[in-house]
Formats: sequence, structure tokens, C-alpha cells
Amino acid sequence: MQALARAARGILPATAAAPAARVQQARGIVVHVKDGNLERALGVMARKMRSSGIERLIRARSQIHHHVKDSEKRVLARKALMQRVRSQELGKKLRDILIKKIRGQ
Amino acid sequence: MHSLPPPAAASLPILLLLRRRRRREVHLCSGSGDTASEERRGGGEGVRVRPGLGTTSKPASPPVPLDPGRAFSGDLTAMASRRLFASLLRSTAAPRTPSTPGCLFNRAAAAAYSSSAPYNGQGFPLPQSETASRLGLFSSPGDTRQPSYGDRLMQSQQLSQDYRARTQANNAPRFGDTMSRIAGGENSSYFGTPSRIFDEHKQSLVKGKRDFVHVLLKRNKTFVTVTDVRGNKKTGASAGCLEDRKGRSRLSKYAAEATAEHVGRAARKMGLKSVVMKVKGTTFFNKKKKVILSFREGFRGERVREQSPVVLIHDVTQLPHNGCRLPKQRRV
Repeated sequence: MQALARAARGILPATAAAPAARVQQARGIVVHVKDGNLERALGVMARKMRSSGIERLIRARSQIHHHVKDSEKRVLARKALMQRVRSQELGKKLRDILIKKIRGQ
Repeated sequence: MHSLPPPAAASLPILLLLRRRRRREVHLCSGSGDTASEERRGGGEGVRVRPGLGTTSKPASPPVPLDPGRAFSGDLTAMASRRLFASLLRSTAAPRTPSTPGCLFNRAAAAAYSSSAPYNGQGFPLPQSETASRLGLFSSPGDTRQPSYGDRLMQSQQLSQDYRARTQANNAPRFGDTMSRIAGGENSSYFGTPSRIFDEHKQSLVKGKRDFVHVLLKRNKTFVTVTDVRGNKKTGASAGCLEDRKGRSRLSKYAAEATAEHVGRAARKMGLKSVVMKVKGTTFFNKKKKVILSFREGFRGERVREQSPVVLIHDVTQLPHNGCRLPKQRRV
């Protein structure tokens, strides 16, 4: 790195850098295809993207196309929470009804 | 009449006596003033006489000779005194005539003195002096005249030449500045060198002789381009230039897949061996997966057993982490 810095200042000419420095880290998600199995590679990539959270960002970005204020975000979060709770309660009710029917038979 | 002395030759004591008598005569002049007033009264009487003569000639004749007689007597005395004064004045004026040429002589002498000043050389530099030699460049020591126009012109030209020489001397450091600027320009060439080193990443891929397939998925468009390692385009297609879907809607779900298949077929014809897929687009992964599989189908064609040319899948989507504020949405 010192050699590069000196070259940048114009003091000494640039010299051949170490082999490790030549490989630059790539941005984004990279998946190698081994033995020509494309289906497996695509599956690995899907898993990587889902875990990294980029899918969620893309979904949010696709739904909302304008700037959202922090206050608005809080309101939306509260609505989502209430909806989730309501859906859970509904699920429980359905499960109980089914159990009763099965036991009744 | 007895009181007035007869005129005599001019002399100093006589002049003094005349002065004293002049003072006495001044009093007499005041008396003559009274006579003048009497004459005025006589004029008034004359006016009265004229209508009297017109009316009656005999009674007017006796008073007329009396009044003019009195007037004549007064006038004669006054005129005599006046004549005496004039003669005395003339006699007194005569001795002054010799003094006037003396004054003129003095003035002439003064003029001579003033005129002699330039001859003495007081106002001009003396001959054979330093000032005279300094004034004229080509003046001889015996030459008293001032430097001519030509000499002055020569001096001014020499002065201007000296000034130019000084200005040229002052320009020397500026030339040095330009040299330093050139050196600075040469230094700037070094800054471009480090950027070449960071291109090694691309050069390392040349060994494998791989080609890049850039897939750009947008909301209503799809671009698939095949390039070499250095970015030169080999072939490519877009959803809008496909012959199959010329007259149809481009918003179809299968537009992207069709484009990828088309490009895959073209790549097959070109004889590509190995390919690196670079996918870019703010869409869900399912769509990207379909595009990649379509490319493989197009490349493979009828042969099912052949392996796919894809060696590497690289998702290069750039998504800001809560970046700039998005524009305000239009209210419809």
C-alpha cells in the first residue's frame, strides 16, 4: 500500500503489487455453478437473497413509491401489528372449531 | 486795483509772495462767486424787461444801461485776475521742463540695466559648465545655446530603451513560473497509474476466456446484452426489438423470457463456451430465475443432455439503504 501511495503522490513509479491485492472483493451476491448444475445454483442463490433481506427491501420498495414520514411509519407498523394479532386469534378459533368437530364425530 | 501788484520776473522769493497772495486771492474768488449770483439775478431782470419793451419803449430805456454797466465792471475784474493766474502758472510750469528729461533718462537707464541681465548670463547656464554639458549630449564646451529637439528626442529614446530592458528583466521569474507549471503538469501524469492496477480483477478473468451476459430487468423493459471481458458488445436484444412481439403488448409476463431465449440462441450460434450471468433489477428473484433458465433453454436448443454454459451467477442489483428522499407521489 505504501508503494501505491508513493505512486499516487508521484514520487516513485508504480511497482507490481502483491498477488493478494489484485483480487478485488465483488459486490452483490455471487454463486458459482458446480458441475453444470444450474438448478442447485439457483436454489442456493434464492436462499442467499432471502436471508440477506434484499427480498424484503424489494417488496417494500415495490409497494411504496413515495417518501414515508417517520410518523407515518409508526402508524403503519401499529396497523400491521393489530392485523397480525387479529389473524392469529382467527387462526386459533378455526383450530378449536375443527378439533371440536373431530372429537364430536 | 492798487492792491494787486504788477507782474514781474520769476524768482524764488517772488514765487513765495505769489503763494501768499494766492491765499488772499482765494478770498477774492469767493467774492467773485457772489458776483456770479448777482449775474443770475440780472438774468431774471432781463426776462422782465423783454415784455416791458414790447408794451412801452420809453419807460424801459433808463434801467437797462445801469445793470449791464455793473455786470461789465465785475466781469472785467474777474477776467483780469484769471489771466494773471494763468500767466503765473505758465511761469511756474517753465522750470519743471528740465526735470522731465531727467526722469526719462532714469527710466532709460533702468531699462538698460534690465536689458543687460541676459547678456550677463545670469538666467542661463554659464559656458564650459557641467549643467551646460549635461543638457545637450552633443553640445561643445563653447556652445551656449540650449539642447535642440533632436538631442531631447535621443535622450527620451534612450530612457524608453532602459525601461524596456528593466521590464524584460522583470519577466524572467515569470518564465521560471511557467517551467514549474510544466513540471506540475508532468507530475499529474503519475496520478493515472494507480487506477490501472485495480483493473487486475478483470484481467484475471481473461485466462478463463469467459463472456458476460448482462441482464437488465426493469418494470416495462428487458435488456439482454452479451459482451466480452473488456465490455465490448458482441450481441444483444431487448423486449421491444423482437420480431415475434412487434405488434403485441410489451408488458407481457413472457417478454423477458422470450428476449433471454433469443439471445441464448444467438450466443449458441456465435460459439460461446462459458458465460458469467450478471443480473440487475429491482424485482423478485422468481423473475430473475425464469430469465436465467430461458437463456439456458435458448442456448441448449433441442439437446437436453448438454450442460449449460453458465459458470457464475452474479446479482449486481444496486439498492440504496434508505438513500435520497423519493419524489412526492402525484395525487390522482
